Amino acid sequence: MPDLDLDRRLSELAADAGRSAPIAAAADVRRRADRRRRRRYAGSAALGVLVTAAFGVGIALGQPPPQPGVPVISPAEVRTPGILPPPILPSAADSAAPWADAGPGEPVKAPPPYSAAFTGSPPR
Amino acid sequence: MRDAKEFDSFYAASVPRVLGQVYAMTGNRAEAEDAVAEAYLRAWDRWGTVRDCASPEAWVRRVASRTAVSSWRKAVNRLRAHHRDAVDPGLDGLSPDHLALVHALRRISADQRRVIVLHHLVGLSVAEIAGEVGVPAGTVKARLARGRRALAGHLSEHDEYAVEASHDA
Repeated sequence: MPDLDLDRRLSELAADAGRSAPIAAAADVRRRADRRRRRRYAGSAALGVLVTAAFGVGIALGQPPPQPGVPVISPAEVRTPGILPPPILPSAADSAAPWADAGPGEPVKAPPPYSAAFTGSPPR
Repeated sequence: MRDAKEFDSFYAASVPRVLGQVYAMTGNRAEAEDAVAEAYLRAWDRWGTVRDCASPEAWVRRVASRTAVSSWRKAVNRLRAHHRDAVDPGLDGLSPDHLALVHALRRISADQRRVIVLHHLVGLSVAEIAGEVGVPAGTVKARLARGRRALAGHLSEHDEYAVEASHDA
């Protein structure tokens, strides 16, 4: 194989290319890199927003429609049996007609003309 | 925090050398310029990491050579070349010897070109080339041998042609 003298020939070629090539200023290189990075971040953020929005819309569209006739009960209205208040049962003290409790021989008092216990409606 | 001054001095000191090396690897000046510019952009992006490398220049050269051979970039460059004039502006002003070398380099495979440039131009040993290229040392040796043989053939063809042309004149 002939002596190619590749070291010298390649060095000269590379030096020639390095000398004659238009070389950008370092500040320009940094500026371009920073601009590109900002663009990439903005693009990623926009893509993230888009994907999130698409996901949200997809979930909303994927929900089954509410069935007719079934009342919609909000969670606040749902009560478990464990926290139901105790039932209010009628007692003797709650007897609605104390005037009727007259003993034998005692005159029966007439009921008052109006009692909230009877109607439960506010006085006019 | 990235040190702009440090990057600027690294860039100024290394870019002509890296450009020459990548030009020899690609055989195309426009492609080399694009690839080197891209490599320095990425170097500034990751300057905090790159500056701590054993050799930031080797990092840039590696990124540039990968960029230059990436298929996507090749496709883009082909499109660009299609829109440009058919004449390669990178060959303007080259001496006949350099022209012959560039033509010969273009005719061997990219892998062979890379190891030849790393060995004969950058001055790396076979083991260092194996580390940089990511192949076994035996593969590097084989590529070097085949590449040198192919280059010798192409260069001698060119020399014969040049001698014949000078006789005819």
